[in-house]
Amino acid sequence: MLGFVVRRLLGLVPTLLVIVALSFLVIRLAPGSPFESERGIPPEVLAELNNKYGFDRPLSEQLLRYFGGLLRGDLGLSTKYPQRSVNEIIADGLPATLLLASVALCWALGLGIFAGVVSAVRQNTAWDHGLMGIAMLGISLPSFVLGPLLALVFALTFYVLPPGGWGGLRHVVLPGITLGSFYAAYIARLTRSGMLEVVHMDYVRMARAKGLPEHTVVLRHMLRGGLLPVVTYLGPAIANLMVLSVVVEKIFATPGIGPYFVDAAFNRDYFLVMGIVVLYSVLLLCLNLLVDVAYGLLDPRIRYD
Amino acid sequence: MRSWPLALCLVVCGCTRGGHGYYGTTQPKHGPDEVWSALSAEPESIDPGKTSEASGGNVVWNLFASLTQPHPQGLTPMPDIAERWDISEDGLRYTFHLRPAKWSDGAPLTAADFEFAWRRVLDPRTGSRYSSFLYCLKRGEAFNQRALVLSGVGDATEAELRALLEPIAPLARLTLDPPLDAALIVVGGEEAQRPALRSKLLRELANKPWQGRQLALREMEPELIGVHAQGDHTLQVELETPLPYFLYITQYYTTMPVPRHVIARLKQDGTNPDLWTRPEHIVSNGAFRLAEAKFRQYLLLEKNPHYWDAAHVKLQRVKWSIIDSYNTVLNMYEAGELDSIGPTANLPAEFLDLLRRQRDFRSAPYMAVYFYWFNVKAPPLDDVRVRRALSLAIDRKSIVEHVTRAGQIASADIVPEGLGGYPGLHSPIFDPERARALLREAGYGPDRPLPQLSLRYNTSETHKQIAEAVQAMWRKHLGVGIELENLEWNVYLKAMHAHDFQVGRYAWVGDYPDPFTFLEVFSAHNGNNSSNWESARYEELLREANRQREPGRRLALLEQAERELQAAVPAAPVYVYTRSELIKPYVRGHVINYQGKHLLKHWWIDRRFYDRDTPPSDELDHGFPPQPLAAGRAASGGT
Repeated sequence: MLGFVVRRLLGLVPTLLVIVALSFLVIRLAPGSPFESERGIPPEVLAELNNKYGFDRPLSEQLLRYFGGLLRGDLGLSTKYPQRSVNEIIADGLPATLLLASVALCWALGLGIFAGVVSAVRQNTAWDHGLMGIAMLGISLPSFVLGPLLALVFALTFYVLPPGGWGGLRHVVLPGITLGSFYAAYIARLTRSGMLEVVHMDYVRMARAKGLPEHTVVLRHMLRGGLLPVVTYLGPAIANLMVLSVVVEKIFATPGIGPYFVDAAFNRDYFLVMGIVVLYSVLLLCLNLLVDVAYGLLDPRIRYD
Repeated sequence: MRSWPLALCLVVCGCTRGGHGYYGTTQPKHGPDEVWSALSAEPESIDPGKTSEASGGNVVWNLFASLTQPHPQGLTPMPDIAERWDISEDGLRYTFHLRPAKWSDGAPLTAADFEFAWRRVLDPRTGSRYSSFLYCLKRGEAFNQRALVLSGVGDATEAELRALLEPIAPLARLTLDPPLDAALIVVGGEEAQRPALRSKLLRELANKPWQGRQLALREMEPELIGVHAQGDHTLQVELETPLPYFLYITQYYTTMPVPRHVIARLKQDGTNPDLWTRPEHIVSNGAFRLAEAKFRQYLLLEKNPHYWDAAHVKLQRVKWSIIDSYNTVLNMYEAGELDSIGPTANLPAEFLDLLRRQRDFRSAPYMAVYFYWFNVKAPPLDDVRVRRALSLAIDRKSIVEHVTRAGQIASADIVPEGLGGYPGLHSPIFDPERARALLREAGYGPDRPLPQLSLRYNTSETHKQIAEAVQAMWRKHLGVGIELENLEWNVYLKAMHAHDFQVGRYAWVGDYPDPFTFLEVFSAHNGNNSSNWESARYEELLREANRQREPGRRLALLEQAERELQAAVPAAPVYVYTRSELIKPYVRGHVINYQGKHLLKHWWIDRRFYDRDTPPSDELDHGFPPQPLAAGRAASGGT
């Protein structure tokens, strides 16, 4: 098991190098520069700015310097916010995005698994149809519709939660629910079908035959097998959750790193774009690894050798 | 398909809103000495010398104070750090008399701080994007272009000197400077080669006997720029040419002082001095100081007790939340989490019809013009009749009424009417008959239609809608096919600067309330003039106008210049912007001025809104100071 993790971690390095090099070149191919401005910048000032960020050197040298910085954990300086390094910008925004994603994930897992189990256990009853109907709605409602609707009800009609901004747990509730609902719905459907798949398995019948109480059968035996599809889905889901937080963070003015995905590219803030690419690549690669590990823990049939 | 829930959302919103005709709550959620407002982006920089966008500018305007300050309504310059000023007869020399003032850490603020700040802006190493703002200072432009000073030239002519220098290095500019007995030289040629060329010149001409004279070439010192502190309280300013609007420049953020002592201390401690605007270091000299800043969350301003006019600043705290989405700003305003949508947010267009009926809605003209550039060197637009025909075939009234819908003023003038007393040309805004006749005159007709044109704009929903309307109008009235091309902002700017377009969208926001701020854009050496149009007569008229000491005569010359411009049609103006805001009725002391500045030192909270269910009438005196009569020498304090 440990050997497997170490091997996989070592395998990440070349993948990451290729991602960094490719994105570095692609962002440079985009026309325009970070210092393009409506009001022309005087040439000597422009030369000074290019020199400060090293943009006046050959591209290969810039790439090598970037790799050098990366090794030291230095992601460079932002051109848009000259007072800040990319490290600081990410350190400032990441906690908010992580908190938002965690709340969304808890909401998605809690609600999704509960609804899925209930529907599976009460298959083809009004409970099942009702819950799956709501799940269908959750899957079809995009966050840019759900978000404003929730804000309208909870923030502007009943004044119980703030319609945006950041500060305390109160501020994370609406964006968390908005972000998590799609996944809650999807997880509910996955859980339901996973549970229905194992309901006729021998080990479930065995558990029942032993005379175990129904809730033990469902929670201890069925759920463990029934959740496998959810676990497979969890890796990409968490990744998606963090990427899709762009929209939700904009709607609720959450100071996370989501919006940089789009804004940094538009501003040609080269180092910030790279910083975000590196962060998300590492995150996605690690999530995939985690899913593989979790798979083995849940399914006794899988061995890492 | 995706928009019906949104539409439903809007309808529900519309039905549930509006207590007493206001949008959302009218009870302050905070104490009576506080205001909550918003910025739509994290300021890129709050260093007065470096900021170049609206968010940063508005923060700087409230944290720092310059020589003069704008009147909150008319923007006319009033004394701020400068108590009074004298202007020389030829309009070239300004002497500012500074009042005793302090930085927010209690350190004395002197004329040397201004001298330092202005030289710093012009120093190319600072990387100030707005350094051209101070090109009006004597030798300011030369310093910013790393000019070299060739001294000992005596009565040598420009041609003689060029003959001497150009074999060594190409020159972008050579100007004789008799008071210095020198010539100022700006090296030209390839951008990347210039440092090498400069060193070469410096080497070869360090000490050169020539025609019986002893020439010496050196790098220009900042002391040669036309700004000098004389003692602690007098600032001498020398201008390159007389500028009747110079006092407006002295209220702009680029001219605000920076704390020399803090920058020096950081340098001494080995910290990067560029970081002096970080919350832990920043010291300012305006009505407020920065108490706290959370990146992309909020800025917290508190009253600066050291500000000279602190007695008249009523707010103790201002919280500026940073919110990108205009819809979120609107929601937070409605819920009372914001007292004002702030100086940079716009009201979402789809809400305007609803918001316009609210009592807390305010709208006023804004000093900006929306227009289309014509590339006068790209056929068939090289024919002025074609350009005029296209301009006349834009139904501007229909665009502001049906497309933009925020009360914009349809106008075909480059300079908005009323700017600094300017009467305005009132050019015809729509005349399809005349447009068709002009096209016929230019030789185009049914048998020889105008070739298809391309119209470029930067990606945005509004620009797209306007471009589509113009496309339809040109097709309908002139039978011209238009291909619309949208480009992402950075790519678009690059294309425009490279003159790679036929028709291109643009907007110009004035820097100061004077016609010149719009007219100078069309000057041949202005970096923003994308049209390729140039006219010696136009340049001469502008120069001549600024030499005038009598305001009426000057305006007449500027008007003549605009006529010259309109005769050539390098651009087709479409409308003058308006700025619309929502502001809670309990906030007083705010009016929408021509530049959309939020000057918080005039704001205060009407306490009556705390203890009543029915809000009192909002007709109330804001308590503004009286407006000075006019800019220039008549301004208060001037002699």
